[in-house]
Amino acid sequence: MADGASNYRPRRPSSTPSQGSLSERDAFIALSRQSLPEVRASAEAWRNGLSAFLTLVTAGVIIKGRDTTAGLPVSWRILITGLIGAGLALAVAGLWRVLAAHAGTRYRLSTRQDIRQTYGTVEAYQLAVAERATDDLSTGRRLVFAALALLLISVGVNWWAPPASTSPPAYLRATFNNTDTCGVPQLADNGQLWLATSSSHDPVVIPLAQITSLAVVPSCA
Amino acid sequence: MVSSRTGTGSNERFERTTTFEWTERAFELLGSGALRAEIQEHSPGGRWAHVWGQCPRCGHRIDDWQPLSAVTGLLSGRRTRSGTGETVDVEPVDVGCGCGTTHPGAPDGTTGCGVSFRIELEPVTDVDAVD
Repeated sequence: MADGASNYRPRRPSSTPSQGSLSERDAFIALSRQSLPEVRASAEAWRNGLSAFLTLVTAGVIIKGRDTTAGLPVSWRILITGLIGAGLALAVAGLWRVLAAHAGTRYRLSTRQDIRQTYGTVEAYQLAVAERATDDLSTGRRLVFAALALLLISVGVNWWAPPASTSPPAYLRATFNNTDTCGVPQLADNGQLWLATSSSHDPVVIPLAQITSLAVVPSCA
Repeated sequence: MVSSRTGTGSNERFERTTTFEWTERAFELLGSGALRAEIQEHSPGGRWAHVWGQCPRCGHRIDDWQPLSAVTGLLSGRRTRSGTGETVDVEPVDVGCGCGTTHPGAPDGTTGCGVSFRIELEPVTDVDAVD
C-alpha cells in the first residue's frame, strides 16, 4: 500500500458507469481543479473587503469622532451618535454579506460523497452556492440601504439640531463680610449684586461696596 | 458484443462502452492483482482514488488518479463513522481507459480503447482486519 493510502478494499460493483455518473465524475474533477484558484480569489476579495471595512470604521468613528456632535445638546448628541453608530453597524453587516456573496464563506475540504449525499450532484451543489450568494447579495443590499438611510438621517438631524445652551455662561463667587457666596448673577443695579444660589429660594443681595473679591468660576461646587 | 473478454492489446478497436462486462472484468483483475486500486489521503480530508494496472478491455497499462475531495463553500463538514473521524461510505470510482495508445477507429486525437468501468472500494473495518 502506498504512503498515505487509506484502508479500503475492492468489492463487486452492482452497476456499471452511466453517462450521468461519468459526467458527474468529470464535473467533480473540474470542481476540484477550481479549488486553489477559487480559494485564492476568495482570499483576495476578502482582503480588499476587510480593508474597506477598516477604512469605513476608521473614517466614521475615529477620525470624525466628536467633531460632528461636540457643539450639540447632550440629548441630540446621543441621538446622532446612535444614528451614526447604527448606520455604521448596518453598513458593515451589509457589506459583509455582499462580500460573502462575492467571495464565499466557510471554505473547507469536502469529499465527493459529501456532495453526493447532501446535494445529489455537483450541479445541484453549484446551484445551491449560487442561491446562497443571491440571498447574501439581497440581504446585503437591504442592510446597506438601511445604513445609508440612517447615516443621511443623522446628517439631517445634525443640520437641524439646536446649538447647546450656553446658560449659565458662568458663576460668580463674591466675598463680603468674610463670607463666600456663589451663584448665577441675575442683576447688578443700584449698588447691589443679585446672585441666585442653590442654597436659598430668593436671590442673595450683596452690596457692591462691601465686596472684597469677585471671581468668575466654572461651577459653584 | 464486439470486444473480446480477454483484451487483445493495440488491435482492440476503439469503442465507447460501459457494458457491465468490463466492470466485472475489472473486479476479476483486481482479485488477481493485475489491476490495483486504492484511496490515498495525504492530508486530512484531501482524498484521491488511484487505479493502475491492466485495462480490462484492451489490456494496456492504465494509471488513473481522480480527486475525491474539493474545496467547497457550503457544506458544514464530513460525515464520519462515530468517533473515528473516518468516512463510512463505499466509494464508487468510474475509470476510463487512458492507456495512451491510439486504437483503430478512434476519433482524431483520442487515446484509450473507449471503455469505462466501475470499481467500488469499501472501508475495511476492524472486524474485517481481524478476519
